[in-house]
Amino acid sequence: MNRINILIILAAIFLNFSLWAQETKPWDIPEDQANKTAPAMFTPDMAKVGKDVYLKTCTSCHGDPGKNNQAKLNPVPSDLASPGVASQSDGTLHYKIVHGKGLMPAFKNTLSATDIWNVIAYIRSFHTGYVQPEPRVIKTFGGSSLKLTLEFLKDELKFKVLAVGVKDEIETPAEGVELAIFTNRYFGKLKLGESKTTNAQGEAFFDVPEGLPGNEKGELTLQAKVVDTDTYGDVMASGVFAAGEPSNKPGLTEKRAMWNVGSKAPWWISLAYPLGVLAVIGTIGYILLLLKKVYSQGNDASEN
Amino acid sequence: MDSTLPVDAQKSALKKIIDDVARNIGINKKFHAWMGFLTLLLFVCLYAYYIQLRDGLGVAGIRDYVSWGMYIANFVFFVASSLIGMLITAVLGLSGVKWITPVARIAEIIAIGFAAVAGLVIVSDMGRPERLVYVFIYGRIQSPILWDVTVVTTYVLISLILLYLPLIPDLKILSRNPMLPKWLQKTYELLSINWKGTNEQYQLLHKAIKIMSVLIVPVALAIHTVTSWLFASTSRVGWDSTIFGPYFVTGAFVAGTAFLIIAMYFFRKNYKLHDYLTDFHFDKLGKLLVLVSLVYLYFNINEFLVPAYKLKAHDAVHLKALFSGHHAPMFWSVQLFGLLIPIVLMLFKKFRKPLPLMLISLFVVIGSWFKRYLIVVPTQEHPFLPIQNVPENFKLYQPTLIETAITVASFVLVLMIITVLSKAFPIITIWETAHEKGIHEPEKLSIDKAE
Ligand code: HEC
Repeated sequence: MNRINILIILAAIFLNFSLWAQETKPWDIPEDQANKTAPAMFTPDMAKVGKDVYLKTCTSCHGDPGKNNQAKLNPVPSDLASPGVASQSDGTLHYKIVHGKGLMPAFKNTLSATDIWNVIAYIRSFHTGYVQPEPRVIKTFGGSSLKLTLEFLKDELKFKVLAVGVKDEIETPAEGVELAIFTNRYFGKLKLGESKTTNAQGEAFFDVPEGLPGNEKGELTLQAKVVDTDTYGDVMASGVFAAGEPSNKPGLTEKRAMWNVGSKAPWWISLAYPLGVLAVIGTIGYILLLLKKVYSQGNDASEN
Repeated sequence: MDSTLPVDAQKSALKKIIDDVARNIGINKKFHAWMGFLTLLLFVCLYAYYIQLRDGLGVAGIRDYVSWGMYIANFVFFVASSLIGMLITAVLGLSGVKWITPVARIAEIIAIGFAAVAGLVIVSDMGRPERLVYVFIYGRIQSPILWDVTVVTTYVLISLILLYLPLIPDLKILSRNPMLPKWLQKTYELLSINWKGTNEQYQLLHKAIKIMSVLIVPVALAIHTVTSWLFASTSRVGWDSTIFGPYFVTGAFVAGTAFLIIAMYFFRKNYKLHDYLTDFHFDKLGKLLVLVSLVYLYFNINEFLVPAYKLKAHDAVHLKALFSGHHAPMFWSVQLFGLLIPIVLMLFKKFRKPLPLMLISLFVVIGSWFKRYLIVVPTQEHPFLPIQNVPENFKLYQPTLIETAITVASFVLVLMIITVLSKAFPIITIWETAHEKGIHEPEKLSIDKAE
């Protein structure tokens, strides 16, 4: 158990006492949320990633699934392998993890949408007899997952994003999916324009903003993303396109500069420093010479 | 000062000087007791350093935000105090001030003690001291840290030379003195490099001293200016100041002069040098301390009034912590007891007598130390980006006992160096004092006496 877990438990226990008198309110889960399905079919890979997340963030309170070794909180958090949890819908579990209640923290800002579904995939791996309902994407677009492709239409100066639902290697256009595109900047990503919704062909078009600085070849790194990650997961597509202005500014560390490495120091400092040191050493050397003269003078004096 | 003293009178006057000075050389009971005490203290403090080496810098109060604490404040104080050597030998010496003759060597010894240990203080602030060489291997020529290492080492070297040069005639004079043990006489003889006191030798010596006195001025200004640049070359509140160089240098003169006065007082008392370190010298040094303190006060007003007038958002937080926040008691104590009240008191002649002046200087030195603390620490508690989600002890710096012990160790080392140097060599220059008293060729006269 790492330190953070201990801290979480201590915080929880402390909260626990302060909440002792309060009776726990029942969960209040909106119907549409309870009916929500995972963006894709759970796979062993998802469960594996989910296990890591679970061990890091959930074990300290919920214990190991199936071992009934939860932390003694009030109320005691369920063993997530128990039938009581198994009988709840994916949407219900998702809502509970995202929003939390009482001592159960809300994970909407600390875990990514994908990770929350991964954890659920992990929890589900303990529920014998669980059959995953078809993901909503399948119902809407006839695919088991959503796929994006990103394209630069040079003549029209537009980016085209194509969204398709995939099932058994058959692709069908996904209509009504909200998308946004981003480009990489120094720190983080810059959203380009407003988000758009795909048409009946599963396509959305984005204008290329004028004069966007790219690299020296004018290339931009672009990303198209699904906005509703809760439903579809972190689906994205990326690519490098010559859609920006070439910018030929020298890199910050290419020329001699104060902030550069020692070998690229400004020339005046590379000169002044050793010269200063040499001047001092030279003077001291001269003093030693004078002392040597004092010494030989003494010899002469005693000979006289 | 009669330059036509008869030879016999010259001889007896010289004998008194030599006896007074030579009496203090060598090891006696007092020395044993004092050094024993210092050694014991040093070992206790070194144990604290052992704990820091074993467990890491976490045993000190420094954390992610305030990563420069007592160690660096102490380093700045040490560099500051060492500047007194340059002030006395170079600034006053070159401008022909006569009364510095008996105090110059004490000033030089203090300079060596503080400058030499300053380097060690930096090492105590390193979590991995064995990586010190990396400063030289990977150091960037653009970094004030590299400049600082360079100038501090250079300053120690030049101070050693400036201690040694004027010692040469004295070593010769004492090399046949029967009051000293034989081995010490031999060492002196060796170190006096054939000194005979001829005109040519004096010319060479004066030339060497003069060159060194000139050289030490830029180097000494550099060590404290560069030390101030360690702070001023960042854009943080309280450090981002164009007057930090001269601000530090004048502050250094204050700390150094005060420390010199304290040292003089103890040498005068313990080494019975009342005839050499007279009330006159204390009076002069008292006036010097008033002068440098006034300049420093002026810089202080500048340094705080200008930002306080503009009160830029981040400066405001910083200044509030100093003026009325949790640093206020220390801040105002330092300004009042370490600067203002001493200046006012020392304007009166009776406070420039040895004992009161020494006591005032004690306040000034302590004030100077805490002043460095106030320069180094509070700024780091006020970064530009808000401090969030960190343990409580990251926000406010609290020095630990171990840290304090290691800092005490550095003071013990300085005292040890000063003690040993003042026991190994004449603390008052014999030949210059003799020349001033109209005794010519003290080398010859003293040798005559011994034969
Ligand atoms: C600080 C302790 C704590 C942590 C950490 C924690 N939980 Fe909980 N959890 C609780 C508590 C307490 C409850 C019961 C809340 C209530 O009913 O008021 C709970 C309830 C739940 C429920 C509903 C159980 C039920 O019976 O309906 C789920 C699902 C759940 N947690 C999942 C998770 C997951 C997944 C994680 C890790 C990402 C996690 N929890 C991390 C304390 C915690």
